[in-house]
Order: sequence, then structure tokens, then C-alpha cells
Amino acid sequence: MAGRTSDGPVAEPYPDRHPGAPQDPGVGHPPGWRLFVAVGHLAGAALLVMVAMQGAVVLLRAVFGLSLPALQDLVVYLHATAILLGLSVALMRDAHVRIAIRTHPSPMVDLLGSLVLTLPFAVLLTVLAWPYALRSWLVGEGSADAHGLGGVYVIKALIVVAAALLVAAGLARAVACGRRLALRR
Amino acid sequence: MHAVANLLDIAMFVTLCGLLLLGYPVAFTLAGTALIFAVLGTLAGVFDFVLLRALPQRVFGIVTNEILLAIPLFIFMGVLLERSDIARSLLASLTGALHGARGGTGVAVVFVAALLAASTGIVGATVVTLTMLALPSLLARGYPPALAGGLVAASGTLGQVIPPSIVLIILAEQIGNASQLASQANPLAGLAPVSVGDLFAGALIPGLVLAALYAGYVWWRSPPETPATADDTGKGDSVVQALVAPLGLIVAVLGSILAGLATPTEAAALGALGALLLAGLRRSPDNPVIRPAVPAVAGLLAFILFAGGAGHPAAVVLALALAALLMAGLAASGVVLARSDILWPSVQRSLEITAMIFAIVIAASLFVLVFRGLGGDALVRALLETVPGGTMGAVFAVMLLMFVMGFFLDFLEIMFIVVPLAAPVLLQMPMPDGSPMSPVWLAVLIAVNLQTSFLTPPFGFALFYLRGSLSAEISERLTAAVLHRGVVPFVVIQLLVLVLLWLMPALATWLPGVIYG
Repeated sequence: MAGRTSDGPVAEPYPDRHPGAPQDPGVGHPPGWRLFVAVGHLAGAALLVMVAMQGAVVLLRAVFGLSLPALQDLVVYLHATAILLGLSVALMRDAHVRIAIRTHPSPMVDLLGSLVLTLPFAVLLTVLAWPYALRSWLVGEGSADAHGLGGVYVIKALIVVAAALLVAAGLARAVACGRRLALRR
Repeated sequence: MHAVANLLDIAMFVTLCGLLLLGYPVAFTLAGTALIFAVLGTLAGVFDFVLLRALPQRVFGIVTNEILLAIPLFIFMGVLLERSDIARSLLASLTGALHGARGGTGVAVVFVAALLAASTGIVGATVVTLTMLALPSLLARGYPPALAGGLVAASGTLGQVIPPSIVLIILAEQIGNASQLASQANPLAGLAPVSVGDLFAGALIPGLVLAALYAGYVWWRSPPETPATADDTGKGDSVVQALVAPLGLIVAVLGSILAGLATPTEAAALGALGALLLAGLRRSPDNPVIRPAVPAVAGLLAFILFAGGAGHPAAVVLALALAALLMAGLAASGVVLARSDILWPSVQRSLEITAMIFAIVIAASLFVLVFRGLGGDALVRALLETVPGGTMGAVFAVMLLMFVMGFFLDFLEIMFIVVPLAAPVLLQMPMPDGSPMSPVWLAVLIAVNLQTSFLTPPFGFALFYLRGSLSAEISERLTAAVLHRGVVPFVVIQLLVLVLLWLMPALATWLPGVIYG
């Protein structure tokens, strides 16, 4: 939550940054960090293009009276892509909001949380989303609107990807917290 | 065994609150707890695990929901306004302009908070931003630490109840679903559907009343101000320049929604692009490509208002030219912001906030799915119907529960858990005069109630965030005890407005009625 705005705009690198996360020296980024940096760029690009496209939709409708359901569908797909990919990126960067009573949540909480809370959910979603997406893919499910963009199965398949990435991010954070704990010993 | 199984829904709730306090991310705590109890329920034979197969469809429904589409757009707008220093310069030049007037700085803080917080609206973010932007200058002008701290905490949370806040968009979606459920269960209840526009219109007057009361209180209590130092009166921006641009943006966004010219999503897109243009202009005021975009926007607006879509071919050509100018200006703004390292960090920050919010939406939906599967629905209904005092008693009980939950949970979690469970039941209960309950009134009551909860010492969220972002030097003057004392008058103001809302539902329902009929 904390936007740091001390001296004008700051290009914020995105390491572990929830308020007070103590970065034990000698413990680098979690494994797979680079993969999630790339995923973050991809998701960010989807978000930026989505903003531009939604603006285009509005202008076309308001100024020229044109309505393009396919373009509006594209906006929704880009939005879904950004969110689905963003879920694991945010987990990796520790950007998910916490109820911080103590300012320094211990690595033990994070380790147990990853193993008991995040991973079962991510695994279950992967397992359930796979047949769900496959069914949609096999019938080549289109849009609800006849003039829509179609290809809804791509987004449903993306749910599987997102869930699998969430599993990976959960594992990576568990490893990172494990390392931190080991280092403290 | 059976008795134990019956208690699983309550146990699930209590476990959630306990686990959340450990400090693990909220979204995954919600989802993980739900799963644990789904397994326990299945083992005890009171939960059908097959219910969980609805999960992928729910995820799909949430990420393609057209109402929630407005969220990343508003977030991007808010992040850009903050990162491009527009918020800071707005505060600085307003303070500069009002200084000397009694309570000028304090009133400026309320004003800026109401204006800018509206676009972000997540409790922590705005309080932190405002603490860093405004608290030092309030203290420098001679405001007592208690007053300054209370003001900043209260103003920082005000944004949630002033449209266009994200909280209100989500609340509209939730209360809309609840209202639909209630209508299906009881078609005779006569409930109206709820749109985001309805709720924006409903929250506008109570929000402005709150802002006015804050400003009035600060004006009354403020000390004679010490003169401004050169460094906090803005960097040579004229008030007009610093004020008109962001104010115009917010008014345009909100106005187009309330006037029915644009859906919230469309308005949010315009807001995001407008913020991009303003940010580009601020970084590079004399840019030959960005500058012409501003009159182009005005021209396009005139075209929309007077030519309305189709028109004379010459007018269409003109509109095309204007649109081209605008697009060039937007592209140039993007380039300028990318070069000064604002654009991409803003995009990434927006992505994180958006993902964080949607993770909670998804997880809470799973939580509610399991809670219902365990029979929690019947439990909530039974509890609400046994509360003495009929409808108003039940509403009061839910408000009290939400108020207490506000000490432990953030806005989103409470909304996603309590509203889907309690609101459909409440909405089926007639008001004391026999008329159906207004979903907009209920939603506004919830919003103001939660905002009050976040302010109330000693557990109020806003207070933690505020204290957490103080510099060491200010922290010594503004101790927890001082802050708690300072925030009390603002809590009283909140309670006053809650009572007003309670006695006069028209405060929330009048404007939507006038606008949307």
C-alpha cells in the first residue's frame, strides 16, 4: 500500500517491500524471480494496452457513434490477462495486502502460510481449471455476443496458466522463507 | 459428531479472523481457510466437495466482470496522479492560496483528500499518501499534533465514501447481487436494481456533508497559522493551473457518470487517459505535441455535446482531426512519462494493486461458497431474524458486527463476506413504515459505518497506517495517545452523520431518485 513519495516520483524497484519485511542480508531473490519479472512485464503491457483500448472504445462510441463489440471484448480479455498473470507476480513481489499488527511478520508465518494456505488453493485451482479449460478449448467456445471477438477458451486456458504460476510462486516464496529461517539459525 | 459439524460454519469464521491476525496475505488466508474447512466439512459429511468445481467458473466470471473492469482504470488514474506529483502540487498551491485565512491549510487538506482519495479508495494507500504529503506542512503551520493527526486520518479515509471510489464500485456490485437475490426470493419486496451510478449518486451528499463537517471543525479549532515558508507553497505553479486540471478531471469523470453520459468503466477510461495527459503536461509543459491535445479534448467534448455522433461530413472530418491530435498528445505524454521513469513503475504498481484486489475478490467468493455449503446461510438468517427490534434491529446488529470487524479486516474482506450473506436477508425486511428497504441506503450506511470503524481508536486501521508512515521526529510529537485523542472529534462527526443517515434515509436516496428516477 505504501506509495513512497518522499522526493518526487521514485522509480520503485520491486523487491520484498511490504512494510517492514526485513531483508536478511545474503538472501537474494526467491528462485524463479526473473520468470516473474518477465510475467510482470507481460501483464503490465496487457494493462497499459487495455487502458488505451478502453479509451479508444469510448471515443469511437461518443464521437463517431461506432460500437465495436469485438474491441470491447478485447478490452475485457486484456483486463483478464493482466489480473490472472498479476496474481502470481503480486505474490512474488509480496504486494498482497496483509493485516499487519506486528510490523515484522516472521518468515515462519510466511513459510507456513505458503504451504498450508496458498499452495493447496493454487493446486486445487490448477486441477479444477484444467478440465474446465479443456472442455471450452475442445468446443472452441466463442463470445456471448455474436459480433464478439470469440476465443473465450483462450482466457479459460489462461486460468490454468495463472494457477500453475501461482503454484510456482508459492513454492518459490516458501523456499525463500526457508532460506531466511535457515540463515537466522 | 453432528453437533460438531453444525458448528463448522462458525468455527470457519473465527479461524479466519485468528489466521488473518498472524499477518499472512489476506487473499490467500481467505482461500486457504475456506479449503481447510471444505475438507473438514467433507470428512464430517456436511459438505459436498463437488461444490468446489464451481471455482474456475467463478474465477472466469470475476475476471471478465464488466462492472469490475473500472477498477484497474481508476487505480491507474490514481497512481498516475500521485506519482506525477499532481497531488502534491495541488495541495501546495491550495495551501499557498488559502494561507492566512483561518484554518486554511486544514481546509485545503480536506479538499485535496476528498478530491484525490476518491480515485484510489483503499484505506491504507490514501492515509499513507496524505500523511506524507500533508502532515508535515500542517505541523509547520502551528497546528497542534492531535488536531493535525486526527484530520489526516479522517481525511485519508474520507475518499472511500466519496465517489468515484473503488470501494463504492465493489459495494455496488455486491449490493446489486444481494438485491437481485432478495428479489428472486421475494418478488413482492419491490426492490429496485442497483447500479454503480446509483451508489455514486447516493454517496455523494453524505460524503460532502462529512467533508463539510471536517472542514468546519478544523476551521473552528485551528490556531492562527504561521506564515508559509517558501518551500511548501508550490514550485511556481499558479493555483489555477494546479487546481483546475485535477479538479476538472474528477468533475468530468464523476459528472459523466452521474449525467448518464458514460458508464463508470467508460468514465474511468477517460479519467485514466486524462491523468496520462495531465501527467505528461506537468513533466513537459511546453511539449509541442502534448499542448495541442488540451484544446483538442475541449473540441471533442463540444463535438459530442452538440453534434452527437453522426453529423455533417465536415464536422466528422474535424472530429477526426481532433481525435488525431488527442492521440498524438497521449502518445507523446506516454513517451515523456516513460523517459522520466514514471510510466512503467506506475503501470507495475497499478498491476500489483489490481491483482491484490482481485485476489481478494476471488478468495472471498470461495470463502462464501464454502460457508454457504456448510449451512452458514441458514445460520445468518436465523441470527438476523432473532435480533429484537425487527428490521432496524437487524440492520443495527449487522452494522455493529461490521464496525467490530473493521478493527481486524479491511474494507474489501468485510464487504465480500458480510454483504453477500447478510444483505439478501436484510433487503427482504420491510422498513418500519412498510416501504421496501433501499439498497442504496443500506450500502451508504455500510460505507460510512466502515469508515468510522477504521478511524476509531485504539484498533482503527487508519491510525496504524498513519503511525506507521511517520518520520521518527514527527512520531515523537504525535504519539499514539495524542493521535487517539485527536481523532475522537472526527469519530463523533462520523457518528453524527450515521445517525443522520439512520433517521433520514433520504440523505442517500434523494439524489439517485432525482437523477435516475
